[in-house]
Amino acid sequence: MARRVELPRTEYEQELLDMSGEQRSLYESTFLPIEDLWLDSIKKGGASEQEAADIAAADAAHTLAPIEQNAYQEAFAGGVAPNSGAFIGLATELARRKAEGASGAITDARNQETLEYYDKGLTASQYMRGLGSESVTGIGTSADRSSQADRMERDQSLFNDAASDATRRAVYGAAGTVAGVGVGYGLGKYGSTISDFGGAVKDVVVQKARGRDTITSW
Amino acid sequence: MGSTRGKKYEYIPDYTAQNAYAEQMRKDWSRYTDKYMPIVTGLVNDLGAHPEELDAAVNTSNMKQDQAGQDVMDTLGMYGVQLNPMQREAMLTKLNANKSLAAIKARTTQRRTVNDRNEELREALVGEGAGIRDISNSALNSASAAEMDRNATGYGIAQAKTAQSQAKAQGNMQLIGQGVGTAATIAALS
Repeated sequence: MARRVELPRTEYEQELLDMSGEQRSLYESTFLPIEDLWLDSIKKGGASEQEAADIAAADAAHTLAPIEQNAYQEAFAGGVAPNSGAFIGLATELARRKAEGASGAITDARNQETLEYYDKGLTASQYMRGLGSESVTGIGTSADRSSQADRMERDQSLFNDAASDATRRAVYGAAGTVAGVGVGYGLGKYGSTISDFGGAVKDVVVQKARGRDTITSW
Repeated sequence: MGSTRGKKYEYIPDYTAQNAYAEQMRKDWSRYTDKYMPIVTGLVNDLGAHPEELDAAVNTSNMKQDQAGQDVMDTLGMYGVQLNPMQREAMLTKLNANKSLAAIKARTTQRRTVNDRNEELREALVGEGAGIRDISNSALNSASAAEMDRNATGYGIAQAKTAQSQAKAQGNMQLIGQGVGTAATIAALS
């Protein structure tokens, strides 16, 4: 069973962890909802476009009405009679211009809405690039640190195993020496007996191999 | 007498910050794909001729021109003007001509607007695409670095295991040699 070694976090590490946690929490609780609202508003058409068109139509009518009134007053002041062809022509022309101005304003308002949608979408795309880049860098760094951690853990395990093996070998070495001393002592003491016995065994084996039953010397 | 078995010590690592960092990065990446990417895809999908916008411009123009015809009648009525049939016919012809011309103008203007807008959007999206390509390259670069790291670790592990196994075998041989040697020495001395 290995003994545990632990190093407590330094004061600065803890401070940085706290700072990061606080800022992330602030971002998620306060800024993320705003970001979500903003992102959800990036849409083409819909109510905002209709509203812009209605406002443009109202603005155009509001702006053009006094111009039309002035034109009639000036015409009357200039001696144009309401029954005259000039007056009818003027009224027709003013109505045409008013229609063109109003429809132009409405279409422009819709186009403006589309451009604003594009602008917001492209701004979001820039934020997205930053976010993507940060995430990829972060995940890349995490991958790097994760394999660093794996390596350190494996190195520790291999080192411990190697150290244990070395110790085991030293123990076996000592045991081998003790065994060797024992065997050496035994050989010293009973060596000749063992040698004679060994020789007899050898002769029997040789004779057997040659198919003879009797032991003869060479 | 001391122990014949040495102690093993294992460092217990702390990955609090690293795990929090990785988790935050994954969350951010989710926002990238789930919240932001659909917006950019929406912009890409908006590139096109937009016939519905051309029709809308024409419809608005027609509607306003029709209203203009009614306004003229109202104005003339307000000033007590009575149109004879010829005057009425002439005025209606002019109003219709105005309406047709205005419709053509509205369609043409809107088509040009859409074309210009498409051109600008396309150019901007090319820039955005380059950024996305950069992110892809960067991710692949990191993956490749991690892979190399893993391979280096693998080589290291294989080497260490070989060294460990060889050292064990060498130790065993040494042990046998040592035993035999000791035995021989003692036997010779006795």
